[in-house]
Formats: sequence, structure tokens, C-alpha cells
Amino acid sequence: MTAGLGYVVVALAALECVLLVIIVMLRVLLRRNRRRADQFRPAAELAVASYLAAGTTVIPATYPAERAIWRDVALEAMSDLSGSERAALAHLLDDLSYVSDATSDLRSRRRTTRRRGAETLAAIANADSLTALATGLHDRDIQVRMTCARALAEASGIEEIPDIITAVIRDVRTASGAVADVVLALGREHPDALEPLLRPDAPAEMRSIAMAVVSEIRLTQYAPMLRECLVRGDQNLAAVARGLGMIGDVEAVPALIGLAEDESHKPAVRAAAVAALGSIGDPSAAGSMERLVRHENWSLRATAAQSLSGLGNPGRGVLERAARSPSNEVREQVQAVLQS
Amino acid sequence: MITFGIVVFVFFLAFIVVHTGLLIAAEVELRRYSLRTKAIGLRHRVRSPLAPAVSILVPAYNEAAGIADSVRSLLALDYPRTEIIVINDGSTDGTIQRLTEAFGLHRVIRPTPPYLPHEAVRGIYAPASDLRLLVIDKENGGKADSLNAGINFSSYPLFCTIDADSILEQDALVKTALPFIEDPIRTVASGGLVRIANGCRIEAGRVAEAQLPRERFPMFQVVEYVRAFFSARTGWSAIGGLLIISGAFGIFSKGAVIAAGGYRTGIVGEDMELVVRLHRSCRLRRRPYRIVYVPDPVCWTEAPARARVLRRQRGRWHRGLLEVLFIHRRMILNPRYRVVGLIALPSMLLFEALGPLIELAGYAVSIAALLTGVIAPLDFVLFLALAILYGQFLTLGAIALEDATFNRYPAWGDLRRLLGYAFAESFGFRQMLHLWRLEGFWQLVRKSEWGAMDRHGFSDSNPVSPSPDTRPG
Repeated sequence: MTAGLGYVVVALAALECVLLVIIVMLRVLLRRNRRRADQFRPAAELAVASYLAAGTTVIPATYPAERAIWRDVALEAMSDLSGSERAALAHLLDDLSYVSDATSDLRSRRRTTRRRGAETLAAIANADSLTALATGLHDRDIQVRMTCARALAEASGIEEIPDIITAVIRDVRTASGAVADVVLALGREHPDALEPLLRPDAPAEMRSIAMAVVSEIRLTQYAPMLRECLVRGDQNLAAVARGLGMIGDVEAVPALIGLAEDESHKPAVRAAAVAALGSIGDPSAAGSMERLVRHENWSLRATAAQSLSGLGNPGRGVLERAARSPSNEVREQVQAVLQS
Repeated sequence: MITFGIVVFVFFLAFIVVHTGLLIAAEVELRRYSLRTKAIGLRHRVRSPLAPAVSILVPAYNEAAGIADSVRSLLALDYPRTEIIVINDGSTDGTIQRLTEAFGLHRVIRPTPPYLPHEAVRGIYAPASDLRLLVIDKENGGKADSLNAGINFSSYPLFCTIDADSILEQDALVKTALPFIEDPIRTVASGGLVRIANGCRIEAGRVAEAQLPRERFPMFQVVEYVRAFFSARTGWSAIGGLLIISGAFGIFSKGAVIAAGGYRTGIVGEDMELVVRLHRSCRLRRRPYRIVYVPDPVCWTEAPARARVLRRQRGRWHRGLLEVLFIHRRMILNPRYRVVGLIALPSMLLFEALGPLIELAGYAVSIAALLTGVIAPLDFVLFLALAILYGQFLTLGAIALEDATFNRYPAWGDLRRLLGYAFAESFGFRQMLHLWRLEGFWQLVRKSEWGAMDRHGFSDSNPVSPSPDTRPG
């Protein structure tokens, strides 16, 4: 036993020595990288700023480390720029052959390199990079696929849309956040493209994201589709109601009143309909709200009180009447709204 | 004696298997995290209108000294939509007056939502300006009770808990919220890395320069935190068995927490209890879920610098742990709860709750065995060396992971001090902590208040007192 224990102790001590060497080597490496960044970064930042301000000629970086720092500085600057300045910087990066570098990075076997390539191409997003980004839609790494899809959604023409749609539907279950970004970009640049994502046969997660995007950017063209969902009794009624409210669709008011008053639905769904009625601001909802502001459910009552403040004079009249209610809860709720 | 020796040996073997596994899982997870965040444009994420809004809950008990600075630094955080809710838990030091003066608050009418029970609200205050700030003044009920009140009054789908005396880095919120942005359907809670602020240069409520503490006890705790956050917590998160999100800093889904019943009052470890209950509630409702630890976001907090305070803190933490394990005893070894029931909770029971007892008894029995000649002196020395070396191996592994990812203490002098303290902790500090933790068993029958700490605030010159609950384990 003693010998066995001795061997284990020696092995563990040796392992710790190896760990110590690894720590020291890591630190040496990190210090070297920091030194390089300190050496090259200020010059790169100055060159980018001078180029943008006065169109000063940029001397291409020679060392690989310098090139990498140059790229990082330019990409950081691009995330803060828009319009002609951004286009000018993208043009410069293309001239300095960063697009061809990133295109070959996208073919690398290493995932990190491919991700870096996709990010660079997505930031530059000129004609050459779009061709490379389109191939990235079929990459085996989800992050590369979504980066390419977002860039294409923001910058490409309609011919790439079917491939983008296929990619987002494929990845919605595993990367819903990244997919939401792509759908948002798609909605902003190509609003018509969201139609297949809202259809009843689309995956539920996909429809939910598409509805959130339609609401967020208030795509009025989808109001009839959302109304249809409301009438049909969609499985995500709260999101549908929210969307109609954000769009401000007056034609949806009768259906929303119906949903708000329907006791068979959950309070959260009904509250979403009540909030939507408040956002639309149609005074015809005041009668229904007058009943709901006295409802026993707290969230329904609170939302109704809040929504009444968006219905103009009829809403204010209802609030003032409710402020004289014998119920303490109702009075308190209404007074809070009137005070704000 | 021999039977006990076998028990200690099996315990030690199990400890090695579990903790080496966690270290490996942490390495994989940290590498994955670094790769992912290097490629994600954080600025792009922050600006996305689809990023969920977050209510920041700041429970405060006698925090007059530093509350205004804390709120100002929270108001300056990088995040698209936040509101700050300070919950004054019956302070007697003029916390409310301090806030009123600093932010021009006035009393407003707000009905109390009925989602979670809490002590009576005395008044609600809001600024006349557009600042997204709400102050709830309520009767004293403890930290958990304050958080329940904050959840009730919050308007957003996510809430973040932060101790009033902690400091968040500028991008800490967006990094911790990232799991919710990336996987909004499944993520129910996300915790961030907590570091020790003792020794750091603090200016205007921000850590201007990260430095290691000069005092002995905080320095030992830095080593402890590095090991806990970079090895244990990251490892548990990687395998889906994360049981603790520090009360000092975490983001939660409001809906999931309300569905689970909110914070449990009357116990010490309310942060751990909530996380365990979230696991339980999601499993019972068959809801797909993730509770994750994000190894990068930094919340700076003060560690106890005095033995008396550290002793009280560790006793309280241990009592909290025992309470949680007792409350959720049916989950232990229950296959319904998968990793949490079969690995995480049993490990917590064996290595954290009973560990101090077994280890201290192990020392006593080993010495007795040595003195009575049951074991040879060489075996005794080798076993002791094995225990010490393994503890140091875990610490070195965690330091290597920290270096490879964030390297917040880059100077060679910092490394020397970290390694020195990692070596020294096995000779006295560790055993002392175990003794103090055993006091947690006694504290189970003696209740104490959560806010009984003397606070001075994070101003540039003031020394600061420890956070009530920032456990690293």
C-alpha cells in the first residue's frame, strides 16, 4: 500500500509541476500577445481614424499579428459606423485583401477560424463577401450559419431568401436567439419574406419569433394574417394580440374585445388582448374595459386600468367612475393610473 | 478505526472522481464559452430590440452609506431596457432619506401585485424625472422577503438580483443575459462570476483597477473563489447540475420564479434554495429548462477581512446549505431529477455538508491511528501529502483555466501570491474554515438576521464590509 500511495503522490506532484509549467507558458504567451497589441493597436486605430476623416492612404500591415489587430480594430469601428463611413471602411478592408483572407478562413477545418471568417465577411458585406457568405449558410457550425444568414438578410437581394428561410427553420430549436436576429434583419430588409414563417404549418417556435419581429417593427402588412390567427384561435394568442396592438390595427378591435372578455382563456392571454386594445386606442373598447377594470383577477384589472388611459376621453371617464368604486382594490389600481 | 479509515478513503476517492470530472467539464465549457463570445458581437446583441428587458432588484437593509453610489452605477450599466427597484427592508439608518435626496424621489400610488407574499409595504417612491427607478419601502422581513416584493413590483420578464454593496462591471448584465437572448424559451436562470473587491481601486462606484487584496483572509478567499467559480461552478453548469447562483448577482425568469413560488423566507440559503426549487419545479412540470453559469461577467464584492466576520459568514452559509438539503431531501438520489438528483445534490451533501465533519474526523482518527501504531508513519505522511497535493491540483487547475480565459491578475507577482496562498491554505486556513462551518449545525437551532453587518459603502477611501451572501461553493 505504501508503495502504491507513494507512486500516486509522486504522479500528482509531477502533474502539478506540469500544470505550473502550463500556467507560466500561458502567461508568457498572453504577455507576448498584449505586447503586440500595445505595439500595433494604436497605429491601427490612428490609421482607421485618419482614413475615415481625411482619406489618408493606409499602408498595408505586413506581420500576421499586425494584420489580425488591424482587422479587429476595423471591425470594431464598423460596428459603430453606418452609411458612407461604414461603406468606405468595408471598401478599404476589401482593398487590403481581408475579404479574400476571410473567404479562405470560411473554408478552414477549424471552427474558430471559420467563425472569424464569417464575422469579417458579415461586417464587410460587399458583393464579393456575399457570395462567400452564401456558402456559409451550409456550414456545419450553427454559429457560422447564423452569422452568414444575418449578414445575407441585411445585405443581399431576394434570391438568397429561400436559403435563409431554410437555415432559420432548421436551426430555430437549437439557436432561437440567433434565429430571432436573422428574422429581425429579414423583416427590416425584406418584410415580405416573413410570410412563410408565420404560416400555420411553420414550427411553433418559428412562428413565435416571426410574430415578435412583426410586432417589434410594426409590419402592418401582416395585420390581416394576424387577425385570421386570432379568429382561428391560434395556439399563441397572446403573441398575436400583442402584434395587433403594436401594429395598431383598428379592424382587430372587435376580435380583441371578444378575446379579452372570453372567460375560457387564461388571464395572461386576456391581459395581452386588453393591453393591445389600449395600444390601439380605439374608444369603442371602453365599455368592455369598464367591466374588466372591476375583474377579480389582479393582472386583468391592472392591465385594463392601464389600457383605459390610452383610450382618450371615454377611457378617462371610465377611470373616474371606477375611482369611486366601493372596492378598495379597484380604487387603488385606478388612482395609480390617474396619478401617473 | 480501520472501518472509519476505509470510509475516509472512499470519501476521498469519490471526492477526487467528482472534482476531477468537474475540472475537465469546466475546461471544456470555458473553451466553448471563449470561442462563442469571441465571435458574438456583444454590441450587436445589446442593441437588439429583441433583447429582453431586465428589472434590477436591489434589496437594501441599512445601506445608507453606499446605496446612492450603487444605484448610480446600476443606472449606467450597458443594457437596452432596465428598471432599478430598490427594496428598503425596514432600514433604520435613513436609507430612504438618502435615496430621496439623491434622486429627488416622491411618494406614488402603486397597488401591490399579489403574485408572491411579503411583508407590508409602507410606501412606494419614484423620481420625478424619467429615471427608471422605483423604491419600495417595506416592513423588515429579510432578504428573501424583499426580493419577493421586488419581483411583485417588477414590470419586465427577467429580473436581476444584486446586493446593494456589490459592483457590476459595465457589460456584466448583457453577458449574463446572453443565455436568455440566445435561448429564451429554455433559460430560466443565469448566474455570473463574482470576484473579491478587497484591494481593488474603486472610483465612482466602479472598479478602476483590479488588484489582489493585501490582507491575509481576503487573499485566501480569492484562491477559494477562483477554484469555486472556475472549476466547480463552471463544471456543474456544463453538466446541468448547477445548484447555486450567488445572491450577489444572478438573472432569473420572472415567470419561472413565480411559478416555483418565489424566494422562501425564514431560511439563510434562499439563493441556493430557489435554484434547487427551480430545478424541481421545471422537472415536475416537464418544462425543458436550463440553469446556467456564465463564467465571464464580473460582480465585485467585499470579502470578510476579519476572522470574526468570516467565521459568522461561513457558519451562516453552512446552516443555509443544511437547510436547503433538508428541505429538498426527497430530490437526493431521485432519478426523476437526473443530474441534480443523482450527482449534484448527493455531492453537495457528501462533500459540502458532511465534508468538514468527515475531513476533521479523518485528521483526528489518522493522528490517533498514528499514535497507536495502527498505521505506519510513512503511510500517514503519504496520505496527508496526497490530500494536500490534490487540493492544490484543483486550485492550480482553476488558476490555469482563469489564466487561459480572462487572466484578471496578469502580473507575475499576482501569480506568485496566488500560488503561495494556494499552498498555504492547506496548513491551517482550510481546517479553520471547516471548524467554523461546523458551527452551522448549531446555528440551525439559533436564528439570526440576514442584514446584521456593519456597512460603510464603496466610496474611494472607505473600507468595506462583507456581502451577506456571495458564497463561492
